[in-house]
Amino acid sequence: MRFFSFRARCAFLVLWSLWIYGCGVGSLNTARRAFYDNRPEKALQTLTESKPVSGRDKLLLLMEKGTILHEMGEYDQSAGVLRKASELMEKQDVVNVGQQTAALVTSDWATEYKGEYCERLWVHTYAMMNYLLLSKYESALVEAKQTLKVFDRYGSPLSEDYFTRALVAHSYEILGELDDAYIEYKKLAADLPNNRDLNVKLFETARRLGFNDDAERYRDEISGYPPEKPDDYGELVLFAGMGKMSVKQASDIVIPPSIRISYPQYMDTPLPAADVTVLNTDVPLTGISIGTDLRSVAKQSLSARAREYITRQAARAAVKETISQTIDNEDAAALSILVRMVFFLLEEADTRGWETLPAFLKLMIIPLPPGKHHLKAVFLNEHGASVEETDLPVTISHPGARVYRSVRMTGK
Amino acid sequence: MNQFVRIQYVFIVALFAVVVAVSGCRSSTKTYSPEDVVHYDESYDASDKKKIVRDLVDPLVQDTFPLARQTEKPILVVYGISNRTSEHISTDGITDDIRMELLKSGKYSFVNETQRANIEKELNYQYSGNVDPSTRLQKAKQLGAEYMLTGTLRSIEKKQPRQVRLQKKTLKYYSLNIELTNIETSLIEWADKVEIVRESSKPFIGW
Repeated sequence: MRFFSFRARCAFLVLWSLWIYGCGVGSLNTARRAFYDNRPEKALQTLTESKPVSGRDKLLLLMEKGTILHEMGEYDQSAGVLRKASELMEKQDVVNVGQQTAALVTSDWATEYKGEYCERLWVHTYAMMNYLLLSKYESALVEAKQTLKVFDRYGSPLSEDYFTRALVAHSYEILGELDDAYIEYKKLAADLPNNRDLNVKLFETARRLGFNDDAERYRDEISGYPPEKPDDYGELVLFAGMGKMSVKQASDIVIPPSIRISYPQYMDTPLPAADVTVLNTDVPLTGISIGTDLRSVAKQSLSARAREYITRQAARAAVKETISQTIDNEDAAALSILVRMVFFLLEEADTRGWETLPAFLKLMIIPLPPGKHHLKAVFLNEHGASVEETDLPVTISHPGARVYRSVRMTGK
Repeated sequence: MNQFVRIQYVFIVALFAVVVAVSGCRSSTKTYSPEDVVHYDESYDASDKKKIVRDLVDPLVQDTFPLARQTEKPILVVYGISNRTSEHISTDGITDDIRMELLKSGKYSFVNETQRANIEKELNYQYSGNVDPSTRLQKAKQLGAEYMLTGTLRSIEKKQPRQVRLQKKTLKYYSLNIELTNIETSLIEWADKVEIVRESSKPFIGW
């Protein structure tokens, strides 16, 4: 028994496909524009309005909110939002049959956004930064352990995120878990050989652990650089973000008559500054600095997902072609052309991504004596000239005290 | 398979996806007794907290435990339990419950470390000139703690390796080590631990 005519069902399928595709990310883009126009409050308001995005983009909403709140200095709220993102990622581990079926006849836009591997890592990186800035060190260590799980799961594409890896070691170190800190620093040193800044950390940690042979070896490697931190000093730990994360764009391959394969690619974005330094009355301060080009890690992360992506594309192309040929065989030529056109247009690469992230993140650990310091974080161009400056008042209350700060140059 | 049947299949699948997308689940509530053991997954939960507190407090209140037999109640201070797990667990809840159970036993006294700032604030106010001198409390009458209660909560998590299956299993091990340190001698007078091992499985496929 046929409840609906063949044409009615085709029309329904086409309309449904268009409906799915039509649920875009408008408010997210509005918020991102406001954020990069230095109007973070407006960006936050846009994302806080009731039901600003579809359920499929909820993770993106939480990620963008997390970075916007972080840059506004609302670290507690940012940490809360990113924890929700983390819980959502956990739930998304279950494959949703309904969404996967929808994606088979439309595009990946029909599925919940689950985040690139690197984005799943950076949810925890930002939460870790937030907790350190709030002096909630145990919570920072919890996030550090979560990042280690992500590293275990996705492996090599993320290995160049030296910033996160150094921060993990730092989180162990400040809670006195020196064995774990030493292991993480050593793993990092294996990927960053001859990094003198890292050797300083290895020397300090080995010495505190009583690993005298190791300490002597690292002392030789860092001889004279930088001067050893006096015991009565504290330190400034600075998180410096620069620029704007690369965005994804769709690239297409067309196979006549109507098969279109569309895949996402990260497009390069220029860095508005080449480096960042901290000045104390115009004198650059020395310390330890370890950075990550987030754009590069994101590209490797996307490449690592290529096989999965190709498989899905092939399956979708086969399903769409089967439907189109079935309609051809029904002698409905006009409908067949319409369906092929819709399928062709719908085949759009999923270019969703966490766009309020910086392009580059740098961790700086600078020894300072107790007292008040009127410092400046200065972003430099490739010629070493200042591009942007941010005041950085820091008070080291007692020997051994740590002060955390976060700065960002978005480079509008 | 003829064309008609193939088209039917395609439409059934598409329609099914729409129904799944728009349908929701009815909400419901259920009340449990605090004594009920309820676990939804492998993670630490309220039932674990009850078990941990019960297992740790029981030996401390037995008459066989030397401190519990003292005629003068020992004075303890709680310095909290460090969270070294990979979850955001509020360990204050554990220490609060341990303290409460020990207080209820009548065999221990506690100084209130968490309220020290407020105690000082209130005493300073009493000496600010606003309070009748005959009613204000004497300073330097606080009692010193003799023992310090500390601990560490740790966890180890193991997920089943990747393979073709419909369920994903996770094994979680928690251990809470707790110590009672004599502040004068710095000797650890008592130590104990509670362990919880739990496995849970989650489906790979859902709606």
